[in-house]
Amino acid sequence: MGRAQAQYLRIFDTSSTYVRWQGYYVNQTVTMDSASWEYMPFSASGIVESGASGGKSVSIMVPATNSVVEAFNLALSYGRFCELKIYEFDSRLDQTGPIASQNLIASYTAEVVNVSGTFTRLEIELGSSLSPVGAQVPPRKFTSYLIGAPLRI
Amino acid sequence: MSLNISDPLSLLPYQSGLADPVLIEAAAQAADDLTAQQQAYKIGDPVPIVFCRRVSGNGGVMVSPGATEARYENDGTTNALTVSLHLVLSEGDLPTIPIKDVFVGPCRQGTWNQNYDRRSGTWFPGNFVTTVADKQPWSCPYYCGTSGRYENMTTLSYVNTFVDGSERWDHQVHVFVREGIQITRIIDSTLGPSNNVIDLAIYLMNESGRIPSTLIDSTEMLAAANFCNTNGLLYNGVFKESLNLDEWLEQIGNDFLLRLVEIDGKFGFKPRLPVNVDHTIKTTALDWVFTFTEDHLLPDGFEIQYIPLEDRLPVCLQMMWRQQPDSDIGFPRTTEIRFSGEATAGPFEQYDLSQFCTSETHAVKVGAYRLARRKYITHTLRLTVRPSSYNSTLTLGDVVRVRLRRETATTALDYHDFLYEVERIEKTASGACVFDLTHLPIDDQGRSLVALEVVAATAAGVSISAGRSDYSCDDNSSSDNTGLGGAGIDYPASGGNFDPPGLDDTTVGLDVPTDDTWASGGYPPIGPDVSQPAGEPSGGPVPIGSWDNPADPLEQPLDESGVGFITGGTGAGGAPVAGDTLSVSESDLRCDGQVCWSKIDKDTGEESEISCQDEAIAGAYTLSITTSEVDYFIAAVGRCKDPATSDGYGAPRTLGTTAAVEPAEPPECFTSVTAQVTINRVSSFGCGGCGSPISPVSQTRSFTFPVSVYKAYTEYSEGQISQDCDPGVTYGTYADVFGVDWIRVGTTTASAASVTFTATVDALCLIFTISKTQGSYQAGQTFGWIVASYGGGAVGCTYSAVALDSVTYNNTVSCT
Repeated sequence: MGRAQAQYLRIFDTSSTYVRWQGYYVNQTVTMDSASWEYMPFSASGIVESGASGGKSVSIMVPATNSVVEAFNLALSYGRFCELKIYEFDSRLDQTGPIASQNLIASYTAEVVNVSGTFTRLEIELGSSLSPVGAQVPPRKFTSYLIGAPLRI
Repeated sequence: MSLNISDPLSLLPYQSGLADPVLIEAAAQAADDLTAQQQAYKIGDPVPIVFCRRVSGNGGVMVSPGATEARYENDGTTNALTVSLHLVLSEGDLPTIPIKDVFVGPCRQGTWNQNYDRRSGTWFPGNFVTTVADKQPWSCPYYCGTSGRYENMTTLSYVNTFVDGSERWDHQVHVFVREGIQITRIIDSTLGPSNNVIDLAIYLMNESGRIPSTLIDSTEMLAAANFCNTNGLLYNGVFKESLNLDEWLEQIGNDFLLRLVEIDGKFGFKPRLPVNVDHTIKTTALDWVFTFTEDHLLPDGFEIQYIPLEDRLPVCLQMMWRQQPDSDIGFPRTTEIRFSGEATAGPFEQYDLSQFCTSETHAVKVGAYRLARRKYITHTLRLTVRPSSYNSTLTLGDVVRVRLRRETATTALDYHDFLYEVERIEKTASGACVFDLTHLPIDDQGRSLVALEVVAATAAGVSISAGRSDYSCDDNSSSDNTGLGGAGIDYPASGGNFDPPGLDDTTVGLDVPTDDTWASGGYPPIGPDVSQPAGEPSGGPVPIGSWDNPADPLEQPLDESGVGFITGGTGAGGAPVAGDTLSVSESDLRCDGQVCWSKIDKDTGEESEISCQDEAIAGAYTLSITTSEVDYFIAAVGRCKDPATSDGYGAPRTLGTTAAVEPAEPPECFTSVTAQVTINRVSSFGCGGCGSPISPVSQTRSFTFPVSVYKAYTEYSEGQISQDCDPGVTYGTYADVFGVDWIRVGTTTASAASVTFTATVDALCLIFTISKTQGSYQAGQTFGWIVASYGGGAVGCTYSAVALDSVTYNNTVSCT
């Protein structure tokens, strides 16, 4: 088997999908799940699923083209979601588009929580704001507005 | 920033909760002293969340609320002290508490009120204690609080009187809460109190604002909630210590036999034990989802880690929980769990569940689970396998079988064949998948040994006496189900007699940037300007922050072509004309700095500097255009101050370049004016006699330029014409007419001061004094004129003398 992996990236929110990108079929717009996926060369790091605290994020490397920068800037600003799907398939069967027999081997949905990089490439971090630092509970604290100057014993 | 570190397999037992956490040998958290001194909340303390639901005689939590206000007042004769306390019980709205469930120290005493979202009680805080003769003075706090708004809180007011010399006046107040904060329960979708830890987890996730509801796996959460409910793993506690949510979710899962999972980015809990469809713990043969064999394994894809000795030694677990009687104060208990005959004299390990666990069964099952894992689980695995369909089907907690052929000699064929739970999945970019697996021991019938131990572990079920025999200090009945009163205060906006700080007193609101589009208000760090998305933010989601930092002096526009920021050109298309004053606004330079003007020959391109201005004057950098700049482009170059450079200014930035300067042309003025002429005095006079007066008339006259132009007077003083005509009307001489000049058509022009109008003079025509060279007149501006018009006839014969007192222009005329 000529094993190949195709990665698909979608930025969306509860009402709209803003971009659909795929990183395998060079300079092609392919159709999958009744939607068009434009070519954008990107690569995703490994996906880790664990119950342990922290470490629940995925990194994506993307070129810093105008359209990519715009898409991820807005995703970061609006807290949009990013869905990463990785399919495996036999590359000997067809190279023109997604094949029906491809296997979904990984899927990850999260918020765009951080963007960094250089003028030519960006590293997109997907995850949640539920970080090991911060996010304290109970969320509310006694404030001057709530209790004024409280009793001092 | 993220740091990637290696994740050795040896850490897996600790990450998965398999190994024991760091032990804290301490008193049970529920073992509060009943007669401790009353505590006060401090600014910055977390607002407690009372989360409980008493069901079938089990549950509820004893809360020791802190005070925020107090009033102390004694009797001037008996010295009896009346103590009033205002307490915050919990965030949210709690059902009314019966009088039997409120305590001062260990005693049911006092008068109570309960409210939500308002201040309870109507008493005013303060220390009003006086010294009474022959009595020991009370020593009460002096800073008694100023009251607050208490939004979204359940508050209590407590008032009680203590006899002279009582030592109980500052005892801690306790409240037994049977039904805690109201939330929408996931199991029945009903608003009410809950004792399900999943409800609490979802509540905290939502309230923390850190996890979008979309990323909460409601299906897994519901299954986990049903697992807890079915197996009696319930939460009845007060959440008051500030903890990291991620850490709390992970830790609390272990105490409820749950595993925090993140599947496809969504958070959820899964039972740590195999379950049946009715959510009970499965004690029948296990099924496994997938079998890994040599076919899947990549080279060096097998790694085994045995559980270290210290985590396998027999121990006795002391599970601490809380016995909560229905009509008395609860107290912590311990239940020791050990395998028969093992660790009879220790070692002991404490697990404190007393903060939230009111069920011995719960404590026993958690203890049995921990002990059984120590007993039976021998190792963990890390398998590195090639990707396949199982990459997407296997999730955390799934049961898999690993069957690997092992040959150590030609005649020794063996299999590594065990069941495992998936503890961690890493799907690498290369495609290889790494599964961290925890041994799942089974018996000869394929049943989980750990599950069997947990199910078999049953509580002794013996209620221990609270050890209290004297209830004489109770003023209120232990069976009085009357709800607490509702007296309280709704503050007016001013606070009324109280002085709670208002929102404006404690909050500083910063204006949200309104100019938040990159196109006009700033620039992205890199990349293009981004237009405001259609429909957003109005009607769409509001951005969490600005799309970018707002415009600042360091951000430079890329488009520096065209006129740019130069203004003041009056020629065609804004081209400068000799005589214009060009300017660049200080705000367009965006910094303190310098603007230099230069001219560029439009034919040769040769550039020469005209002048530099180091400081804006009246907010602008300006340049007066002269004829020497005609046919030159004018360029403005700005430089911000930069102490790092030798000349004190930074890199130049072209602010704009104009079109070629045009020569000045004679200004185009009006060519005609239509004026409304009001004739004030009209008479005819001829040779030897006066004619009949003519009635005043108003006429519209059009004057076509060039006309006889003379001189303008903006102040008109009407004179009188002295003629022997028009009896009853006195005319002054023209010499008396002040400020009027005359033009005599055709021959000479006389000056106003010397001219005396006589009938022998040639006909006077309209004296029209619009200047074509100077001045600016606006429509509606009134000027004064005196006009004599020639009526015809020979000299010395009949004339018509017309005096008019105003002309109103209907045109806007401007000449320079």
